[in-house]
Amino acid sequence: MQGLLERIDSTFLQVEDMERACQWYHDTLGFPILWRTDIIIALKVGDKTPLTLVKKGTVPANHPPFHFFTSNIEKVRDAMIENNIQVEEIRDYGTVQLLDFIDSEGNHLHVCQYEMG
Amino acid sequence: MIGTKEKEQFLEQGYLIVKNVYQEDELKALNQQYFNIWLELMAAGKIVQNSQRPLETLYPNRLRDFHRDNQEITDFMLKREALQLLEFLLEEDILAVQSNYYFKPPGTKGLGFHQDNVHIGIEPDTSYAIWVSVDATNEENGSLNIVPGTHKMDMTEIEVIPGSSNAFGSELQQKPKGYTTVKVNTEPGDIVIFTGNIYHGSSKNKSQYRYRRSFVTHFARKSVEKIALNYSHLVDKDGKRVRRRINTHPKIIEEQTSIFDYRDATFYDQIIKGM
Repeated sequence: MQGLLERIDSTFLQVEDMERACQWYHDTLGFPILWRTDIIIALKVGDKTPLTLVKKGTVPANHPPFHFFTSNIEKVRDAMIENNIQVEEIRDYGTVQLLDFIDSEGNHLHVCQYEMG
Repeated sequence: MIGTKEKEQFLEQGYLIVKNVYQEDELKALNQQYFNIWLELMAAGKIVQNSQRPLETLYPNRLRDFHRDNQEITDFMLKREALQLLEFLLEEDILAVQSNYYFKPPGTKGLGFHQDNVHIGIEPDTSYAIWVSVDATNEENGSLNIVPGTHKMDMTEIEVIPGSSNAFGSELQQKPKGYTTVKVNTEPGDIVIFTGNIYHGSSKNKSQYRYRRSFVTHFARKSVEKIALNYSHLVDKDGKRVRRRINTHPKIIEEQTSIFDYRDATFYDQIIKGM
Protein backbone atom coordinates (compact mmCIF):
# COMPACT_ATOMS: atom_id res chain seq x y z
CA MET A 1 0.00 0.00 0.00
CA GLN A 2 3.05 2.22 -0.01
CA GLY A 3 2.37 5.66 -1.48
CA LEU A 4 -1.40 5.23 -1.75
CA LEU A 5 -2.08 7.35 1.33
CA GLU A 6 -0.36 10.51 0.15
CA ARG A 7 -0.63 12.85 3.13
CA ILE A 8 -2.68 13.85 6.13
CA ASP A 9 -5.38 16.10 4.65
CA SER A 10 -6.42 17.73 7.91
CA THR A 11 -6.41 17.30 11.64
CA PHE A 12 -9.66 17.96 13.55
CA LEU A 13 -10.58 19.63 16.78
CA GLN A 14 -14.14 19.68 18.10
CA VAL A 15 -15.04 22.97 19.82
CA GLU A 16 -18.01 24.24 21.83
CA ASP A 17 -18.21 27.80 20.53
CA MET A 18 -17.30 28.40 16.88
CA GLU A 19 -17.08 32.18 17.07
CA ARG A 20 -14.94 32.10 20.20
CA ALA A 21 -12.69 29.41 18.70
CA CYS A 22 -12.45 31.31 15.41
CA GLN A 23 -11.34 34.44 17.22
CA TRP A 24 -8.77 32.52 19.23
CA TYR A 25 -7.24 30.50 16.40
CA HIS A 26 -7.59 33.11 13.65
CA ASP A 27 -7.07 36.37 15.51
CA THR A 28 -4.84 35.31 18.41
CA LEU A 29 -2.77 32.55 16.83
CA GLY A 30 -3.01 34.14 13.39
CA PHE A 31 -3.96 31.15 11.25
CA PRO A 32 -5.60 32.23 7.95
CA ILE A 33 -9.08 30.82 7.23
CA LEU A 34 -9.11 28.53 4.21
CA TRP A 35 -12.91 28.28 4.19
CA ARG A 36 -15.74 28.14 6.69
CA THR A 37 -19.38 27.49 7.39
CA ASP A 38 -21.30 28.04 10.64
CA ILE A 39 -19.98 24.75 12.00
CA ILE A 40 -16.73 24.07 10.13
CA ILE A 41 -13.64 26.32 9.98
CA ALA A 42 -10.51 25.11 8.15
CA LEU A 43 -7.33 26.94 9.09
CA LYS A 44 -4.04 27.15 7.23
CA VAL A 45 -1.15 26.25 9.53
CA GLY A 46 2.04 27.16 7.71
CA ASP A 47 2.46 25.16 4.51
CA LYS A 48 1.75 21.81 6.11
CA THR A 49 -1.36 20.06 7.35
CA PRO A 50 -4.38 22.34 7.96
CA LEU A 51 -6.37 22.29 11.19
CA THR A 52 -10.14 21.98 10.89
CA LEU A 53 -12.40 23.11 13.75
CA VAL A 54 -15.82 21.52 13.91
CA LYS A 55 -18.68 22.32 16.25
CA LYS A 56 -19.06 19.71 18.94
CA GLY A 57 -22.17 17.60 18.57
CA THR A 58 -22.44 17.94 14.79
CA VAL A 59 -20.24 14.93 14.02
CA PRO A 60 -20.05 11.61 15.89
CA ALA A 61 -18.06 11.78 19.12
CA ASN A 62 -15.60 9.22 17.71
CA HIS A 63 -14.91 11.29 14.56
CA PRO A 64 -11.30 10.54 13.50
CA PRO A 65 -8.63 13.02 14.69
CA PHE A 66 -7.32 13.29 11.11
CA HIS A 67 -8.07 12.33 7.49
CA PHE A 68 -5.67 10.58 5.16
CA PHE A 69 -5.76 11.88 1.58
CA THR A 70 -5.57 9.80 -1.58
CA SER A 71 -6.11 10.56 -5.24
CA ASN A 72 -7.42 7.04 -5.89
CA ILE A 73 -9.83 5.98 -3.17
CA GLU A 74 -11.07 2.86 -5.00
CA LYS A 75 -7.51 1.56 -5.29
CA VAL A 76 -7.01 2.23 -1.58
CA ARG A 77 -10.13 0.25 -0.74
CA ASP A 78 -9.04 -2.68 -2.93
CA ALA A 79 -5.59 -2.65 -1.34
CA MET A 80 -7.07 -2.56 2.17
CA ILE A 81 -9.27 -5.55 1.39
CA GLU A 82 -6.21 -7.41 0.08
CA ASN A 83 -4.48 -6.61 3.37
CA ASN A 84 -7.45 -7.89 5.40
CA ILE A 85 -8.21 -4.43 6.76
CA GLN A 86 -11.78 -3.90 7.94
CA VAL A 87 -13.16 -1.39 5.48
CA GLU A 88 -16.60 -0.04 4.57
CA GLU A 89 -18.16 0.97 1.24
CA ILE A 90 -16.97 4.30 -0.19
CA ARG A 91 -19.28 7.17 0.78
CA ASP A 92 -19.80 9.50 -2.20
CA TYR A 93 -20.93 13.07 -1.51
CA GLY A 94 -20.27 14.30 -5.05
CA THR A 95 -17.44 16.72 -4.30
CA VAL A 96 -15.77 14.45 -1.76
CA GLN A 97 -15.53 10.71 -1.14
CA LEU A 98 -14.80 9.08 2.22
CA LEU A 99 -13.66 5.60 3.13
CA ASP A 100 -14.09 4.31 6.70
CA PHE A 101 -11.68 1.72 8.01
CA ILE A 102 -10.46 0.28 11.33
CA ASP A 103 -6.77 0.17 12.29
CA SER A 104 -4.97 -2.55 14.30
CA GLU A 105 -5.93 -0.77 17.55
CA GLY A 106 -9.61 -0.55 16.82
CA ASN A 107 -9.50 3.14 15.87
CA HIS A 108 -12.09 4.31 13.35
CA LEU A 109 -10.28 6.29 10.63
CA HIS A 110 -11.03 7.94 7.27
CA VAL A 111 -9.41 8.22 3.87
CA CYS A 112 -10.70 11.11 1.75
CA GLN A 113 -10.53 12.08 -1.89
CA TYR A 114 -11.83 15.32 -3.38
CA GLU A 115 -11.65 17.46 -6.47
CA MET A 116 -8.30 19.21 -6.72
CA GLY A 117 -7.67 22.19 -9.01
CA MET B 1 -40.39 21.52 -28.45
CA ILE B 2 -40.98 18.46 -26.23
CA GLY B 3 -43.56 15.68 -26.34
CA THR B 4 -44.63 12.39 -24.81
CA LYS B 5 -41.19 10.82 -25.18
CA GLU B 6 -39.54 13.63 -23.24
CA LYS B 7 -42.25 13.54 -20.58
CA GLU B 8 -41.69 9.81 -20.09
CA GLN B 9 -37.96 10.42 -19.79
CA PHE B 10 -38.54 13.14 -17.20
CA LEU B 11 -40.85 10.92 -15.16
CA GLU B 12 -38.44 8.00 -15.32
CA GLN B 13 -35.11 9.82 -14.95
CA GLY B 14 -36.13 12.86 -12.90
CA TYR B 15 -34.53 15.37 -15.25
CA LEU B 16 -34.69 16.59 -18.85
CA ILE B 17 -32.33 18.63 -21.03
CA VAL B 18 -33.97 20.98 -23.54
CA LYS B 19 -31.71 22.68 -26.06
CA ASN B 20 -31.78 26.34 -27.17
CA VAL B 21 -34.54 27.70 -24.95
CA TYR B 22 -32.81 31.04 -24.31
CA GLN B 23 -31.19 33.13 -27.04
CA GLU B 24 -27.79 34.81 -26.99
CA ASP B 25 -29.18 38.33 -26.57
CA GLU B 26 -31.27 37.23 -23.56
CA LEU B 27 -28.22 35.66 -21.90
CA LYS B 28 -26.12 38.73 -22.61
CA ALA B 29 -28.77 41.00 -21.06
CA LEU B 30 -29.01 38.78 -17.98
CA ASN B 31 -25.24 38.82 -17.53
CA GLN B 32 -25.26 42.60 -17.73
CA GLN B 33 -27.87 42.83 -14.96
CA TYR B 34 -25.85 40.61 -12.64
CA PHE B 35 -22.61 42.35 -13.47
CA ASN B 36 -24.26 45.61 -12.38
CA ILE B 37 -25.51 44.00 -9.15
CA TRP B 38 -22.07 42.57 -8.45
CA LEU B 39 -20.48 45.96 -9.06
CA GLU B 40 -22.92 47.60 -6.63
CA LEU B 41 -22.12 44.99 -3.98
CA MET B 42 -18.41 45.53 -4.51
CA ALA B 43 -18.80 49.31 -4.31
CA ALA B 44 -20.77 48.92 -1.07
CA GLY B 45 -18.00 46.80 0.46
CA LYS B 46 -20.28 43.81 0.89
CA ILE B 47 -17.95 41.37 -0.82
CA VAL B 48 -14.76 40.64 1.07
CA GLN B 49 -12.11 38.55 -0.60
CA ASN B 50 -10.32 35.73 1.16
CA SER B 51 -6.64 36.00 0.23
CA GLN B 52 -6.42 32.20 0.35
CA ARG B 53 -9.04 31.90 -2.44
CA PRO B 54 -8.94 35.32 -4.13
CA LEU B 55 -10.74 34.65 -7.41
CA GLU B 56 -13.40 32.36 -5.99
CA THR B 57 -14.29 34.82 -3.23
CA LEU B 58 -14.29 37.83 -5.53
CA TYR B 59 -17.78 36.63 -6.43
CA PRO B 60 -20.53 35.56 -4.03
CA ASN B 61 -21.29 31.83 -4.06
CA ARG B 62 -24.58 32.76 -5.62
CA LEU B 63 -26.74 35.82 -6.07
CA ARG B 64 -30.07 34.85 -4.61
CA ASP B 65 -33.49 36.35 -5.36
CA PHE B 66 -32.33 39.52 -7.07
CA HIS B 67 -35.27 39.11 -9.43
CA ARG B 68 -37.41 40.68 -6.70
CA ASP B 69 -35.96 44.12 -7.34
CA ASN B 70 -35.25 43.73 -11.03
CA GLN B 71 -37.86 43.49 -13.79
CA GLU B 72 -35.40 42.29 -16.43
CA ILE B 73 -34.31 39.36 -14.30
CA THR B 74 -37.96 38.61 -13.48
CA ASP B 75 -38.81 38.60 -17.19
CA PHE B 76 -35.92 36.21 -17.86
CA MET B 77 -37.02 33.96 -15.00
CA LEU B 78 -40.64 33.89 -16.19
CA LYS B 79 -39.95 33.45 -19.91
CA ARG B 80 -43.18 31.96 -21.15
CA GLU B 81 -41.60 29.34 -23.44
CA ALA B 82 -39.48 27.97 -20.57
CA LEU B 83 -42.36 27.82 -18.10
CA GLN B 84 -44.60 26.10 -20.64
CA LEU B 85 -42.09 23.24 -20.84
CA LEU B 86 -42.33 22.57 -17.10
CA GLU B 87 -46.10 23.01 -17.11
CA PHE B 88 -46.35 20.45 -19.91
CA LEU B 89 -44.33 17.98 -17.84
CA LEU B 90 -46.38 18.58 -14.68
CA GLU B 91 -49.74 19.09 -16.38
CA GLU B 92 -50.30 22.00 -14.01
CA ASP B 93 -49.62 25.73 -13.68
CA ILE B 94 -46.52 26.65 -11.69
CA LEU B 95 -45.33 29.32 -9.26
CA ALA B 96 -41.79 30.70 -9.09
CA VAL B 97 -40.13 30.25 -5.70
CA GLN B 98 -36.55 31.45 -5.86
CA SER B 99 -33.78 32.45 -8.28
CA ASN B 100 -30.01 32.05 -8.14
CA TYR B 101 -27.24 33.27 -10.41
CA TYR B 102 -23.78 31.68 -10.26
CA PHE B 103 -20.63 33.30 -11.67
CA LYS B 104 -18.47 30.28 -10.79
CA PRO B 105 -15.07 31.67 -11.83
CA PRO B 106 -12.03 29.38 -12.29
CA GLY B 107 -11.14 27.50 -9.11
CA THR B 108 -14.64 27.66 -7.61
CA LYS B 109 -15.74 24.63 -5.66
CA GLY B 110 -18.37 22.22 -6.85
CA LEU B 111 -21.62 21.64 -4.99
CA GLY B 112 -21.97 18.34 -3.17
CA PHE B 113 -24.95 16.10 -3.65
CA HIS B 114 -28.19 17.49 -2.29
CA GLN B 115 -31.95 17.39 -2.74
CA ASP B 116 -33.39 20.89 -3.20
CA ASN B 117 -36.66 20.28 -1.39
CA VAL B 118 -34.78 19.51 1.84
CA HIS B 119 -34.46 23.29 2.18
CA ILE B 120 -37.45 24.49 0.18
CA GLY B 121 -39.93 22.41 2.13
CA ILE B 122 -42.68 22.17 -0.47
CA GLU B 123 -45.65 20.01 0.50
CA PRO B 124 -47.28 18.12 -1.02
CA ASP B 125 -45.02 16.85 -3.84
CA THR B 126 -41.69 18.63 -4.32
CA SER B 127 -39.96 21.57 -6.02
CA TYR B 128 -38.88 21.74 -9.68
CA ALA B 129 -35.84 23.56 -11.04
CA ILE B 130 -35.20 25.16 -14.40
CA TRP B 131 -31.43 25.50 -14.66
CA VAL B 132 -30.20 27.72 -17.49
CA SER B 133 -26.77 27.19 -18.97
CA VAL B 134 -25.51 30.75 -19.45
CA ASP B 135 -22.02 29.65 -20.49
CA ALA B 136 -21.17 26.34 -22.13
CA THR B 137 -20.58 23.83 -19.34
CA ASN B 138 -18.66 20.58 -19.11
CA GLU B 139 -16.41 18.74 -16.71
CA GLU B 140 -13.60 21.27 -17.18
CA ASN B 141 -15.49 24.34 -15.95
CA GLY B 142 -17.98 22.55 -13.70
CA SER B 143 -20.69 20.27 -15.00
CA LEU B 144 -24.09 19.79 -13.46
CA ASN B 145 -24.00 16.28 -11.98
CA ILE B 146 -27.28 14.42 -11.69
CA VAL B 147 -28.12 10.99 -10.27
CA PRO B 148 -31.01 9.71 -12.44
CA GLY B 149 -33.73 7.76 -10.69
CA THR B 150 -33.11 9.19 -7.23
CA HIS B 151 -36.08 11.56 -7.69
CA LYS B 152 -38.25 8.62 -6.69
CA MET B 153 -36.65 8.54 -3.26
CA ASP B 154 -37.83 10.38 -0.17
CA MET B 155 -35.67 13.13 1.24
CA THR B 156 -32.83 11.61 3.20
CA GLU B 157 -30.30 12.42 5.91
CA ILE B 158 -28.07 15.51 5.81
CA GLU B 159 -24.52 15.07 7.08
CA VAL B 160 -21.74 17.34 8.34
CA ILE B 161 -18.51 16.29 6.60
CA PRO B 162 -15.62 18.51 7.77
CA GLY B 163 -12.30 18.79 5.94
CA SER B 164 -9.54 21.08 4.72
CA SER B 165 -11.23 22.14 1.48
CA ASN B 166 -14.64 23.55 0.68
CA ALA B 167 -15.25 20.34 -1.27
CA PHE B 168 -16.38 19.24 2.20
CA GLY B 169 -19.48 20.78 3.75
CA SER B 170 -22.05 21.17 6.48
CA GLU B 171 -25.08 19.91 4.57
CA LEU B 172 -24.02 17.07 2.29
CA GLN B 173 -26.05 14.07 1.27
CA GLN B 174 -24.53 10.70 0.48
CA LYS B 175 -25.33 9.29 -2.95
CA PRO B 176 -27.56 6.24 -2.54
CA LYS B 177 -25.89 2.93 -3.37
CA GLY B 178 -26.48 1.47 -6.80
CA TYR B 179 -27.05 4.73 -8.68
CA THR B 180 -24.78 6.24 -11.33
CA THR B 181 -23.91 9.92 -11.70
CA VAL B 182 -24.46 11.62 -15.07
CA LYS B 183 -22.23 14.59 -15.91
CA VAL B 184 -24.36 16.92 -18.03
CA ASN B 185 -22.73 18.96 -20.81
CA THR B 186 -24.64 22.00 -22.07
CA GLU B 187 -24.40 24.89 -24.52
CA PRO B 188 -25.45 28.48 -23.79
CA GLY B 189 -29.25 28.75 -23.76
CA ASP B 190 -29.89 25.09 -22.97
CA ILE B 191 -31.95 24.33 -19.89
CA VAL B 192 -32.04 21.38 -17.53
CA ILE B 193 -35.31 20.70 -15.71
CA PHE B 194 -35.06 18.51 -12.62
CA THR B 195 -37.10 17.64 -9.55
CA GLY B 196 -36.51 18.75 -5.96
CA ASN B 197 -35.96 15.20 -4.76
CA ILE B 198 -33.29 14.20 -7.27
CA TYR B 199 -29.73 14.00 -6.00
CA HIS B 200 -27.59 16.50 -7.87
CA GLY B 201 -24.58 18.76 -7.50
CA SER B 202 -21.79 20.16 -9.63
CA SER B 203 -18.09 19.69 -10.13
CA LYS B 204 -15.31 22.16 -9.45
CA ASN B 205 -14.38 24.71 -12.10
CA LYS B 206 -10.93 23.35 -12.90
CA SER B 207 -10.40 25.59 -15.92
CA GLN B 208 -7.92 28.41 -16.00
CA TYR B 209 -9.93 31.08 -17.79
CA ARG B 210 -13.55 29.93 -18.19
CA TYR B 211 -16.39 31.14 -15.98
CA ARG B 212 -19.35 28.82 -15.61
CA ARG B 213 -22.31 31.15 -15.28
CA SER B 214 -25.74 29.67 -14.74
CA PHE B 215 -29.16 30.80 -13.58
CA VAL B 216 -31.56 28.53 -11.75
CA THR B 217 -35.13 29.09 -10.66
CA HIS B 218 -37.03 26.81 -8.32
CA PHE B 219 -40.73 26.34 -8.96
CA ALA B 220 -43.71 24.77 -7.23
CA ARG B 221 -46.95 23.35 -8.55
CA LYS B 222 -49.70 25.92 -8.20
CA SER B 223 -51.44 23.45 -5.89
CA VAL B 224 -48.59 23.70 -3.33
CA GLU B 225 -50.01 23.99 0.17
CA LYS B 226 -46.93 24.67 2.33
CA ILE B 227 -43.40 25.99 1.82
CA ALA B 228 -40.49 26.94 4.11
CA LEU B 229 -40.48 30.54 5.32
CA ASN B 230 -37.19 31.34 3.64
CA TYR B 231 -38.72 30.37 0.28
CA SER B 232 -42.21 31.74 0.73
CA HIS B 233 -42.02 34.71 -1.67
CA LEU B 234 -43.99 33.03 -4.45
CA VAL B 235 -44.97 34.68 -7.71
CA ASP B 236 -47.21 33.45 -10.51
CA LYS B 237 -46.46 33.52 -14.23
CA ASP B 238 -47.33 37.21 -14.41
CA GLY B 239 -45.05 38.09 -11.53
CA LYS B 240 -47.89 38.63 -9.06
CA ARG B 241 -47.33 37.67 -5.44
CA VAL B 242 -49.07 34.48 -4.32
CA ARG B 243 -49.31 33.33 -0.70
CA ARG B 244 -49.26 29.85 0.78
CA ARG B 245 -48.98 28.44 4.31
CA ILE B 246 -45.55 28.21 5.94
CA ASN B 247 -43.96 24.80 6.38
CA THR B 248 -42.37 25.19 9.82
CA HIS B 249 -40.62 21.83 9.60
CA PRO B 250 -38.84 21.39 6.27
CA LYS B 251 -36.43 18.45 6.25
CA ILE B 252 -33.41 20.65 7.03
CA ILE B 253 -34.96 21.82 10.30
CA GLU B 254 -36.04 18.32 11.19
CA GLU B 255 -32.46 17.13 10.70
CA GLN B 256 -30.49 19.88 12.37
CA THR B 257 -32.65 21.89 14.73
CA SER B 258 -29.77 22.56 17.09
CA ILE B 259 -27.61 24.07 14.37
CA PHE B 260 -29.73 26.00 11.91
CA ASP B 261 -32.25 28.69 12.46
CA TYR B 262 -33.68 29.36 9.04
CA ARG B 263 -36.15 31.90 10.40
CA ASP B 264 -33.19 34.19 10.91
CA ALA B 265 -31.52 33.46 7.60
CA THR B 266 -30.73 36.70 5.83
CA PHE B 267 -32.44 37.58 2.59
CA TYR B 268 -29.22 38.07 0.67
CA ASP B 269 -27.52 35.07 2.23
CA GLN B 270 -24.93 34.93 -0.52
CA ILE B 271 -22.86 37.88 0.65
CA ILE B 272 -19.45 36.78 1.78
CA LYS B 273 -18.53 38.21 5.15
CA GLY B 274 -14.86 38.37 5.96
CA MET B 275 -13.93 34.83 5.02
